[in-house]
Formats: sequence, C-alpha cells, structure tokens
Amino acid sequence: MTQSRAGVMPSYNEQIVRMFTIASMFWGVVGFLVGVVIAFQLAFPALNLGLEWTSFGRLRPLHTSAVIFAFGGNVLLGTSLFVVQRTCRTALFGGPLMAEFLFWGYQLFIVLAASGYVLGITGGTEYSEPEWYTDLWLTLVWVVYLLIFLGTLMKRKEPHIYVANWFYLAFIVTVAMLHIGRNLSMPVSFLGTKSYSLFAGVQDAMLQWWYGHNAVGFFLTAGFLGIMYYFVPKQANRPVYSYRLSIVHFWSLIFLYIWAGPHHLHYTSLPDWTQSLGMVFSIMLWMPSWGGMINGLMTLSGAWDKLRTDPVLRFLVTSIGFYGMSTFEGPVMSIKAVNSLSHYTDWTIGHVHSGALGWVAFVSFGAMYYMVPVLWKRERLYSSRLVEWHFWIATFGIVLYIVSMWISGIMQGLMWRAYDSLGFLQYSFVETVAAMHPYYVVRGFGGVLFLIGALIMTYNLIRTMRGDVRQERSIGSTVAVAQA
Amino acid sequence: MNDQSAHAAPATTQQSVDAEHASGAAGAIMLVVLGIFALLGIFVMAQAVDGVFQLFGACLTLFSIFMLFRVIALLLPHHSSDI
Amino acid sequence: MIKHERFETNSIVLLVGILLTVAIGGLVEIVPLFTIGETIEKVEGVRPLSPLELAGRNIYIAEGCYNCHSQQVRPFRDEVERYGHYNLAAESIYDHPFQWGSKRTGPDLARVGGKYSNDWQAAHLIDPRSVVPESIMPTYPHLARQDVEPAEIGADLHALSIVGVPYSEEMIAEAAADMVAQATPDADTEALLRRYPKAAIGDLDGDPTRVTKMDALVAYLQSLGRMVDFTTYRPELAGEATTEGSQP
Repeated sequence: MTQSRAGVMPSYNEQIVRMFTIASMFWGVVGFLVGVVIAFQLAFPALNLGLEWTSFGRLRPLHTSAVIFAFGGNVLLGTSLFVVQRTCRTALFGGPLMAEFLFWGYQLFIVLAASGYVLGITGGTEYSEPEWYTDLWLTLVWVVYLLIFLGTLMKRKEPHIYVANWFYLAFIVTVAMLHIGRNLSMPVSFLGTKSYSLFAGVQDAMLQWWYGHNAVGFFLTAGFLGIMYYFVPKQANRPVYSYRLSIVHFWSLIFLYIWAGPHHLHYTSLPDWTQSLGMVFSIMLWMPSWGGMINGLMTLSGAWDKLRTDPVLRFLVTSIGFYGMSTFEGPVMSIKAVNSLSHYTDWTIGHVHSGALGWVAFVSFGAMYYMVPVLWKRERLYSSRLVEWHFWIATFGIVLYIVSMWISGIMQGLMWRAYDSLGFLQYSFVETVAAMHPYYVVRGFGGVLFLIGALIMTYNLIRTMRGDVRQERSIGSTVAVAQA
Repeated sequence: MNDQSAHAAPATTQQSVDAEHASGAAGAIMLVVLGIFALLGIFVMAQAVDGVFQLFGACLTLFSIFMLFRVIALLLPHHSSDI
Repeated sequence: MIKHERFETNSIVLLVGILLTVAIGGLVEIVPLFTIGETIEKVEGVRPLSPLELAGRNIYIAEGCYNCHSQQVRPFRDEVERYGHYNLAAESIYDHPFQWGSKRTGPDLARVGGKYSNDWQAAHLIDPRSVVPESIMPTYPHLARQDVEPAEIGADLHALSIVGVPYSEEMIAEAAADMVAQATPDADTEALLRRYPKAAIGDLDGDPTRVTKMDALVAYLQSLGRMVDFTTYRPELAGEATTEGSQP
C-alpha cells in the first residue's frame, strides 16, 4: 500500500509521528498516575495532603484533561498524521514547519491548561475547563491542524479518501465547532486569566452538554474509529468488512451524536422537550455505534486464529468489544427511568471508564504497538510476551474498575431513595458516602493495575525504539526461537 | 503492507529527508509570526494583572524562542531529524 | 440518489457535508432555549450575587467544588425531602457559567444556604472531619489565610453586566465597599441589603479583622437556594413550569 509503483518508498514525514508517539506514552502515564492518586483520595482523604494545589477538586480536571486531551489528543494527532500520509500516499501539507508548530503548540496548550488547574484557574465547566487565553491558543493550533490534514487530503495521490480519514476529518471539524461554541466568554481583563461564560443557567447547561457529550462523540469516538479503520485491517491483514456499512454508520453516527447531550440533564430545569429529544436520539445512537463495532469485528473474518498468537490484535479486538459494551450501556443509561437512578452516582464514572480504558486506551495501545516498529524501522516489537502481560494486567484492572463502580453506583442510588417503615429517608447522605469506601479501594487497585500495564508498554516500546529484541518463545509455540 | 525495512536501520532514511525539509517562504512567515508571539509574551509578562497570566506570558515567550530555533534548524540545509 | 463517490473524492465536499450534518442537532436543541419564553419561569426574588458572594462563587469554581457537588435538585420525593424544593430554571439565570454539576460525591448544595451556621461552614471547610467524621472532602485551611481583593471585584461585576447580569452602575461603583461591609461586623449594611436582599452579613469566618476567601465562600454558600420564596411559589402561576413539576 505504501510501496509506490516504481518501488520507491514515498517520502513521509515520520519524525512528527515519532514525536507524537513519545508524547502519547508520556502523557498516558501522567494521566493514569493522576487518576490513581485521585481515586485513592476518595478512599483516603488524607491523600489530599491539605495543600490547595493537591486537592481532589483541582486534580480531577488535571486527570480528565491529561487522559482526554493530552494522552488521547496526542494519540489522535499522531495516528491521524501517520494514517493520512499513508492512505493519501503523500507527505504532509505544510512540511515539517507546520507539523512541528502543531506538535509543540499542542504541548504548550496542555501545559497551560494543566498549570492553570493546579493553580486554581478554571472555567468551571467539565472538560472545557481551560480559561479563555488557553482556549484561544488551542483554536490557533487546531486551525493549523485542520490546514495540515485537509491540505494533505487535497494533494493526495489516491483517487479516493480512505474511510479512516472521514472519521478523522469529522473529529477535527466538529471539535473545532464545539470548542468555539462552548468557550465563548467575556474576559474580566485582557491581561488577566478570569472570564465569564457568555451564557447562563439553562442555556449554558445545554451548551455545556452539547459540548461535553460530543467531546465523547467526536474526540473519543469518531477520532478513535479512524484509528480502528486503519490499524485493525492492517494488523489483521484483512480488508474492511463492509464498505456500505462504513458509509451508513459514518453519516448516521455523526448526525445522531450531536443530539444526545441533554441526557446529561434529565429531570433538571432543562425543558422537558429537550430532555426527551436527547433521550430518543441517544437510544437511536445505539445502532450506528454497533454498526461500527460490527464493521471492526467482522474485519477479522477468516483471521480469527491470529487472536491466539498476536497480542497486539487482541488489544484492538478487545477495544472494539468494550466499544460495543459501552455504546449499549450508554443508551440504557439515557433512558429517563434508568437515569433517575444512575445520575449523580459512580455508575456514570464506571460507564465512562469502560469506554475510556476499554475502548479509547486499548485501541490506542494497539495502534502504538503497531506504529513504533514501523516508525523506528524495527523488524518487530522488543517483546510480544510483554504485550501479553500488559493486555491481561490492564484487562483485569478494567474489570475491577467497572464492577466496583457498578456496585457502588447502583448501591448509592438505591440508598438515596430508600425509605424506612415509618416513611422517613432511611440513610443520611454521609452514611451513603461511608458505604462507598470498600469500592473506592477496589477501584483504586484497578487503576494501579492499568497504570502498571501502561508502564510495561512504555518499557517495551522504548526497548523497541532502541532496536533491542528480546529472546523469547513466540506466543502459541512451545519451542524457544531466537528471532532476528 | 510491508513498509518497514527488514533490519534495524538508523531512524532517518534517505527517502524521508525531503518530506522533512522546510521551504524558505513558509519559514520566513513563521519566523515573523513567532517573533510577534515572543514579543506578545514579554508584553503579557510585564502587564499581567495576575500571576498565572504572567506565567502564560512566560510560557508563550519560551515557546516562541524555542520554535524560532527549531524553524532555523529546519531551514538549514543539513539538518538532522534524529530525535 | 446522491453518489457517495462525490464525498469520497472531494475533500471540500466531504468537509461541508460533515459540517452541515453536525450542525443540525445543536441548532434544533439550543436555539429554541433562547427564544421560547416558557423555558424560564417567571418568579420573584432572584437577584445577582453580591460582590462578596460572587468572589465566593469564583472560589467555589477555582477549587473545583463542582466536581463533587451538584446544585440541581430533581423533582423526586426523596430529593425534595432531603434537600428542599426542586430547582427552577429561573434560579440560575445569572449563573455564568452554570454549576448544576454531574456527580454527588458530596451532597447537593442547591439549597444549602441557611441550613448550617456560619461557624459550622467555616469549621467544616477548614477540616470537614472535625464536624462530619465520615466525610471524604479535602480540607481547605488556606481559605481562612488568604484575603480577597475588594479593589478588583468591580471589574468582575462590569464583565458580568456585559454578558447580561443586571448589575447597575451604582452596584459596580460600590462593589468594593459592599464587599468589605458584608464581612465586617456592625458595618452599615443598609445600602448593601437594599441592593442585595437576604445577603448573609457579619463576621462569616470567625476573624472579624479581615475579609478572607473563607468569608466569601461562606457568604456564597449561605446565599444558595434562598432567593425564591417557595412558601408562596405557585408553579401554575409562574408560567408553564417546564420540568415535570408534579413528578413524585
């Protein structure tokens, strides 16, 4: 595919993808580590350390932004530039200058946002916490990103735009729209950090979840589906299962996702018609989501046996499984009757993490394990056995996380609405908090396992970059083979 | 499919060099833009009404100066793209 | 039947197609919220925050309180009994940004104003476990150590007036004085209370000599949920209440 007709390798900008890959590894470990810290803060409040900079309220945005925008963002930027060059058979538009500006500009955005949170500078709305000056900076960087991506599409040497690029383009364009719409605000001074949102109350709430839910829909879904559509066929060495299904599920997914935001506002002061619209579209969203899952899984038709011997493919396929699971759980939770129990509880946190750890992170790990040997021109990974270890440790961590949050979430929701035989509320609020303690500990250990997995991956990838190859038995065979 | 060389070669291959070579006109524009950013950062550092905004100015200046050096390095004919 | 080929072979057509597709849902759901009058009930008593309360709200946001506390009581029997009357859209019309929250690691705070004494609030913020042993909330001792800046709050009122909060010229001009007066025992608060009825006044943090962040945050917490008088509130008279008001 990347071998051009004359047999000369087309000249790609690989350096920038290598940089994004290293940044993804770094921010992934940082984001998971902060996640583990705040998970244990909820179990053991002394870990807040009594300092203003390390309290849960300031570290939680640091965790969410680090994993979504720093880890996820670097993965998306890196893989999209990797994929768009190879599927268009041309180097990046704008050359290394724009690419390097994109890379370092994006890292500056992360540093500005993260330092702000710790120092108490936040817009105060979840996942769009950076203040106005950071938002402006990201807007500039994002325009450069769009120019690079679109320019590369326009100078492509293939007649058709490959399906992965549709998803990447939808991700870039829609995130731009959401980012600008959500962050319209009035700075108190153009020489100070503080600003006030242009909108208030019910309109601000709707705008927030229009943004917030589609950060999930376009940042964490559309972009990562782009990853799936390139790396799963590559790793399995099979064509995408159905071309027609990719068309249908692409357009229906991006059309329906935008409507789903109000399910975060069930039974609030948001008008009932908006809540009901949000619920109906959230349920409909189940179909295109599973369209993507089917297209990804069925791509393995005739190659299922590779799952036994290829742990990288196992990461990719498991991620699609988690994607299918959380896109089923999501519509269920958007039903108002279910939401009345699940909203405000840990069930939501568990749901998010089954998507974030199981889908987003696993598909990213799979893509990174694929890309590093290609980018550093290595024959294979340092160790497939370590990939295997990473896979099982991380999977076990996710299971601990999700199950403990299901139990604590449903339990807390039921305790809040429990009445005793005399018709009084049975539990005070703080009794329900105390009941969460064991589940918070279990969740924390789930996070530790996931972090250990990421550290194993980092070690494995760094050794691969250095050109080391571990002497080990290949998976599925019983004989020790010295490879390479 | 097979777009990797079969042995552990150095990271930079001859073929990928022209994809990583910058053009002069774009470089000149970037030098101007980054110069303006650096000055803006210094202005923000001097005039900011709160400490975190000063930090923002400092970060912007550092970023711009660092990128200026990177752009110059990319514009020079015999640059290395090793990490 | 449009051939999909058009989208696959022309990146600009693909770009425009995507933009149109993703714009529709947002437009249909967001724009009517600004134009349909019934979205926000007509109730009496909702006022902009006083300068000290506003400073407190900014601390509430900066400390990330919204990560664990909602400010939105839903119309369920258990929530109304636990917290108070379910929330109306009218109660947050001046909230830039809204702080309804999405998680109750701690309890809802929409109606916390007046439930606890100022002393309890200050002690609880300094060390939550001194008053609620099972609490898992972080401690905030630095709030009692750090002063607010009365000289700067006028600019905040001015910015909010630009985005639609009805702060008058007088309110902006008197902002610094109002801020100090609200947290100073025995100050002349007549003008303050005329501008901001029901504001909690006095020594809010146990240190009468200074105006600290603790004063501001306690003033904000004491203002929450108290502006609308629900003993006289009639949903049927407030225009069509848009939430399911009769939901058990």
